[in-house]
Amino acid sequence: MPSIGLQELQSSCRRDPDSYRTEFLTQYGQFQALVASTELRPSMESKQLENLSSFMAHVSSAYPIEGRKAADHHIRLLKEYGASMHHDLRRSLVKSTTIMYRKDAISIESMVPVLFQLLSVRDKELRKSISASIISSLQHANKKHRNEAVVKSLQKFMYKTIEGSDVALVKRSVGLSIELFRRQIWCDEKTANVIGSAVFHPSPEVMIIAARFVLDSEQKPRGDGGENEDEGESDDESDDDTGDGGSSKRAKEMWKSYNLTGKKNARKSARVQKAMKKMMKKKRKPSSGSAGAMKANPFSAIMLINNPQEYTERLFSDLQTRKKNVSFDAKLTMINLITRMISIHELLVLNLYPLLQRYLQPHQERVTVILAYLAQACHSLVPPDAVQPMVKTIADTFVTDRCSEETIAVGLNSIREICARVPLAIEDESVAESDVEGRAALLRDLAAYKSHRDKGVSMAARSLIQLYREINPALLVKKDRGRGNTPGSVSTPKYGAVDVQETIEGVNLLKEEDSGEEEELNVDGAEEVVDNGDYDSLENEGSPDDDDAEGIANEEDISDEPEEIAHVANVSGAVPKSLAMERILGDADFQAIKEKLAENDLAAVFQSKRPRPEEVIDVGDIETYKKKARRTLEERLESVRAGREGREKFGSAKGRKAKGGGSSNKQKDKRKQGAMVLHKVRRKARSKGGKQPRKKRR
Amino acid sequence: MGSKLPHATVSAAVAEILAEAKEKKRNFVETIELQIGLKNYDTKKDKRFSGTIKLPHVPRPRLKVAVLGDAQHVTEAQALNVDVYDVDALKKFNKAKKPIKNFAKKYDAFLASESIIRIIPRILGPGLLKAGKFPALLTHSDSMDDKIGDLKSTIKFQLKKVLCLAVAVGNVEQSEEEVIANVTLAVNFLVSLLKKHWQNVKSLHIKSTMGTPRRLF
Repeated sequence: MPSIGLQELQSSCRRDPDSYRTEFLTQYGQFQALVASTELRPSMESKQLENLSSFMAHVSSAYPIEGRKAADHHIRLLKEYGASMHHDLRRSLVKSTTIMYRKDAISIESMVPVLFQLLSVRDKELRKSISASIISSLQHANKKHRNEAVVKSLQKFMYKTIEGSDVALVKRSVGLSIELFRRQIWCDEKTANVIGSAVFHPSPEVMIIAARFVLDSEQKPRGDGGENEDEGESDDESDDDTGDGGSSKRAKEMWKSYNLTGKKNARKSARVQKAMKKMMKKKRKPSSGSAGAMKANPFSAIMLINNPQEYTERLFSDLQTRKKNVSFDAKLTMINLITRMISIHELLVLNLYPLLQRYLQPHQERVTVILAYLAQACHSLVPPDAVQPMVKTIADTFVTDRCSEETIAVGLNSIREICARVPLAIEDESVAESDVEGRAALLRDLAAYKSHRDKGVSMAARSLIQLYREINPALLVKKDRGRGNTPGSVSTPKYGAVDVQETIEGVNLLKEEDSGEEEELNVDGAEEVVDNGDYDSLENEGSPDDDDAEGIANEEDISDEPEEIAHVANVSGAVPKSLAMERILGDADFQAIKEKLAENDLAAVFQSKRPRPEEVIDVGDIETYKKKARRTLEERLESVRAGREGREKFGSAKGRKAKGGGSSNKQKDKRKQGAMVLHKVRRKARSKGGKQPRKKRR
Repeated sequence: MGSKLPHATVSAAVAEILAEAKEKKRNFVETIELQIGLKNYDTKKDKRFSGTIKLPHVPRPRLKVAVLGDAQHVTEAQALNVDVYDVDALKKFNKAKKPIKNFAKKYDAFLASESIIRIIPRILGPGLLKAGKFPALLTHSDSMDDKIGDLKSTIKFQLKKVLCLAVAVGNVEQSEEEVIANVTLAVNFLVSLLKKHWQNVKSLHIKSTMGTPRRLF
């Protein structure tokens, strides 16, 4: 039982280091001897050394000098014999090394590289524990303050391994860096770029891991590992929530009031429970976000990539060269990354479009995804002549009467997405500019599908018409333009034209309303300064509220005569001086502008500009609406059975459930032996029956 | 309505900056710059904003503009004494990266005729776009002089890799009112672009090229 003796000694040493020094030193001597013997035969199993190493780790803070030396032994052993060591010994040495770091016997710079090297060992458990310990110790190191020198040296080491040739190690270190980025321990530009550069690694596995990271980080800052963690946390919180917190209190009250009042049934209680759940969820959200928000990088990795143009061009040439030995899925991931880069950084990679054109066939595997990527690769600065052939091909191969309805709808939807970004893509360049009919022939053909018998197709065609109503109604036939959309109402889109604003939209409405008062107020304030300094501050504090009230009153006045505003807005629009140049607008002003724009019909005039199309396209936008087929009998029965599970039987609850409060005396009497209650019954009968005869006797 | 930034603060800061510039005259015209720090802005959730606005008074009068023009614009530009390049001159770059980069560096902004602008990505490659100087459109119906003037007074707000921005909003030779008008419009426009308006603004500074920065907000 040496380990039990060691454990006793361990706690004694920690309690009173000085008096147990000699015992410690004997153990230390033994440890050194074992280390020396292990060096000779590292593959041998040695339980004793395992025990001693954990002992050394735990008492290292009590005997700092020896502790440090023991730590050095650990490091040396792992460094030199780590790969060939017995697996149990290796695991326990790694464990004690981590403990020693926490006890300050070893610096993080010397520990992490050694542990890192061990990531290439074929031992899954070990790798798991190593990456967990690296992450936790890095987190620990940055807890109080960020030690830039340490971070830099470690990052340098990590990046060197990523650029190395050992595929297994590169894969793991990329994975580790990604985890560190997601946990916001290392979420700087440099890390993002290094992980991003792993896309060019010859191994397709590494490439895919890195590419997925760059793509994913755009949407939500969490991955597989982070997700699990989040779920765990939220579960914990929900348990805690029932005890404290404002919203949980309110939820409790809700439940109480439900219980005390009204009639109860399953539907009502389900409704209340749903509302309560919602309440809890609302509270949970900000708390989980605030934990790492301090250091969090507001930019996703894809935005942090240095020199995006060159990066994307290199990626594109990579795609072309490694075409043959990469799976189709990997290729799609690469195309996704390239097109995402193009859309987010507004890049020009003109060779991409002919490459994508080859995939534009209805029978192509996962064609909707490819179409989504194609639309993603379009932005306002892509020259229309690069995109026109794409649109033409889609129209020719997808949108013809011999194709299935689904295909037609997919084609129309993808054309819509492309044209939302490059409005000129649908015009025929070869036709002279004056010949609008000729230029718009394609669009008009496509628009004719609006009366197709299939709902998906007609919806897609209508959405295309709606798009051109807003961006260039001149191209549509008169019938399709919609009310008020004459060819002159919207300026025709031109390549390279930038939308330069001269003032803030809707600010003129505000001017009409309160500029006069504002000036008055300013004057008042100025006078106050001259008169009396003390009053001044008070006056200023009070003024915003007064002003608000006036503003609201005025709003009401104005909303009665919207025509007048329109008139005024037009006039003041022509005058170069505007309220936006005279004073700084506050939050309340912006709110007022928003309200005014919404409440007047003028909103339509001001918001004629379509919002900027999304940078990331969802495949769902391109895939078509599908009519649900009627379910078979079996499917219906299955859903019926699924619904029955776990619910109570319908019908009256009477008799199904015992009444609360125990059994009644009557019920108890029934259970009792006859002899016990006989006298009672007799007395009752006598008193009942006896009274009457007595009366009778009288 | 209560605004977060009183007019008096802006005018005081502008007056101080102009006085400081006057006190210590430099050998060039100092530019007045507006620096903005943002907060609570999550680019993963909110869209990145970008917007261009024309200021009422030209902030950078010495902006160097080149015209990439067709035959008509070449003659027009020569009459106005503006540097001009035609298609052949551009084709001579032969898509070589270095010379195009230097060419982009030589000018602050470009104008291009309608027929030229659509072939620029093909003949010059992404060089101009990369430098952030993709040409503005010049049609035959616009007057070239006006267009150059517009170009000189437009400023662009675009969020890049960091949560701070800086734009030129004036110069020290302008009058106080002009600078104030420019600053006010620029600030208003920027705040209107932000999703949560003033709640997204962390700080506002103005400074002249060589002067000390002054905090507005």
